[in-house]
Order: sequence, then C-alpha cells, then structure tokens
Amino acid sequence: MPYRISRLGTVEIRSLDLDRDLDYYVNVLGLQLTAREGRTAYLKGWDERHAYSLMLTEADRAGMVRLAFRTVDPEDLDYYENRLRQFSVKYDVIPEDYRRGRALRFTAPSGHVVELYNEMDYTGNVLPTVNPPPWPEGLKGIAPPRLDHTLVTAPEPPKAIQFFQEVLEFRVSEMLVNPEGVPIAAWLWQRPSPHDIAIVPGRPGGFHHAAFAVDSAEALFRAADILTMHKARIDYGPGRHGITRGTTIYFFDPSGNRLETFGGYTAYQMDPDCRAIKWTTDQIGPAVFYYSQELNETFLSVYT
Amino acid sequence: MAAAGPYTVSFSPLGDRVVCRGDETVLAAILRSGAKVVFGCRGGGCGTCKMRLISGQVEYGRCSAAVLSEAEKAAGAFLSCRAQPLSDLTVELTAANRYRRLSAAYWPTFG
Repeated sequence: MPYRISRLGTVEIRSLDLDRDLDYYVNVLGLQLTAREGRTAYLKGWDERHAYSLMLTEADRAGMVRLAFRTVDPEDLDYYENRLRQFSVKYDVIPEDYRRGRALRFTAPSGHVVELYNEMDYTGNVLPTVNPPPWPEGLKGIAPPRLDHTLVTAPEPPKAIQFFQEVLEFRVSEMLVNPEGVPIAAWLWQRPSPHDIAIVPGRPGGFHHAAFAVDSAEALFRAADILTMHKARIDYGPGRHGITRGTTIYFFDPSGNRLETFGGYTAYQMDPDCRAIKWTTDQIGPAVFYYSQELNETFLSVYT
Repeated sequence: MAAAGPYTVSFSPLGDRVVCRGDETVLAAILRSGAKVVFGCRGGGCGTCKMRLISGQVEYGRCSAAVLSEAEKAAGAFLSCRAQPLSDLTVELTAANRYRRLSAAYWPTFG
C-alpha cells in the first residue's frame, strides 16, 4: 500500500489572547512567525519548507479548530475524495485557504475537523538552498525544527481508530488494548515515524497536544530550562514514553493548550514491515511515562 | 486591576485559610501555603481547577468560555488558576478539587 500522506501539515489552535500568546510562541517556543492576518497568526518551525504549520486563532476558548494532513502527490487528493465517497463520509471541498490550494474537509468520528490538501506555498526553510549551514544562528527560545504530531481525544476510540485506518489508510504503530482486547488508544502513521496522529479516550473534538520535534538530548534539556526560565507550566518531563520510545516534555501554552517537545531522534523509525506493538491497559503507566511508571493526574483528564 | 490586599481565603467545609496577595491567583496562594490541589493547564483553558465562591469578589482573569460560562460565574464558579481576589473570600471545595494539606512535619514554615 503506497504512502499517500507526507505529514501532519497544519494544526489550528485557539488562543484566548493572541498578542500575549504570540509572544510565547515566538520567544519561548521559538517558532517562526510567517504572517498575521486579523485574528489568526501563521507560524512554523525553522526547518519547515511550506508557508506555515501552526495557525493560532483568537477565540473565547482554548482547543483545536482543525487539523490537516498534506498528501504526497496532488493525485492523492483525488484518491482520498473517492475513498470518502466510497465510505459515505460527508465532505466539503474548500477551494483555497491562506497560501494553500484545494482541500477536502470532513469531520472524523472523533469529532475533529480534518482536512486533506496537497498544495501550499513552498517558501523554503530559513537556510539558503545552496551550500547551506546545518542550522541557523540566532534562533529564539526552544526553536524546534518542525511540527511532529498531534494527539486528540475521542469518545469511542475504536471507531475513530478504524476510520483513520480504513478510510485514510493510516497504519497503527502501537496501541493500548483493554482486557477484552479492544484498542482504547492508538498511534497512527504514514510518514516513517511512530505517529502523525494519536487517539486516546475523551470528549469529542478534544485537543490533547501538538508536538514539535527536538533533535537531541541536549535540546530536550535546553527546552526544559527555557520553559522554566519563563515560568511556563510544565505538565511532565523531561521524560520518556514507553510508546514510541520518544523523549518528552509536556507543557501548556498561556491559554492552556498542551504542547510537547518530542525527541524524534529517540523514537524509532518506521518501515513498511513494522507490525503494531500492543500495550495492555494494566501497563498504561510505563506505556505513557516510562520512568515514573504511572500516569500523572492530568494525562487523561486535562485537555482543551 | 486593584492589587490591594493581602486577603484571606477561607475554605469550606475544612476551615483552612490561606493568605492571598491581591496580585496573585487563588491557586498560587494555595500552592504557596504548602497545600496540594488538583489543577491542569494553569492558563484558564481546561477548567480542572474550578472552585465555587460562597462570599467575596474576584477578578476572573481570561478564561475559556467552554469551561467557565457566564451562567456558571453567576452561580459562583471561578477558575482558581486565573482568579485574583478583590476582597476576603470564602470558597467551597468539592471532592474534585482534592485539596489536601501535608502535615507540618513535611512542610516547615519559614518566618
């Protein structure tokens, strides 16, 4: 089965105060602000090559507005349009959005607005494309190179997991199964990394976190230092997940949305031969937080 | 915003009291006192730290309308991570707040 989704392309997150939160996203998290149009700001990691990966939109509440996957080829959008029809999924065609071409928009069984698109302005990363240095000097804050994945909540995880597997053809890298053998959480991928999106139990449309990649153990600890220097609310970490093996810090933006710095370098790489790994719910502690071996008070209850 | 004070925050039904400066949140005052309480994002977004005011006034701070509606505010609800006191307060704790205080042996007082 060919890969048709290249990555989690964009997430749109709500902000209770855009000016305040932009200061945090630019100077503490260290994303590149690429544009601001009215109540929405467009940002991305320094190594991302398209116009933006994070939309921050001012609203009266926190949480996620939508998430969007970028397809590998333009034809993949037609392929998915056929699949949506085949599975009788209602969808809208969005002719264009800011610096982006045609998209298919639908609501997943998890309650999330999901879009698929292929065209977005290719602006390059912040480095030159001829004889570039390995990284740019003078970055602010944590400065993650890229958006990595998102984790969302669903009232009936098996239905949502099945939708992403069957309709959108994601593969499961890992899953958490209850004593009846039912998956209550799953980590799903197409890009060769442990997950582009993960699903855990919770309310429809809930936003658990968006994760940005950091590329070394030094960068992980530096991120924790920067968050603490700015008195950010750290939820957990630095630590490691049993699932994905990725190193992690969970923390919150000033509007209360959870973010993560995820050690892409510590997580394993996927290849087409990988088969799903199972974790049993009696081992949910080390599955999520490997070192403390137990869930904290907030992992399954606090999200926006 | 008025930042006078400090004010006294009394908790019902326990009778515990903490001192809350006019420029700090109720949650910050609780944690500074050495007590523990459940809280989440500390940004007014998740609603985990919601408490109910029995008497007194607070400045609510910026909170998500999805977790703290105007109707809830009218019924006394506030988010302790954002709210700052404008007077002495009496606050009702529920099981969801999981307020607990470590014994003095584990929490020395400083001055």
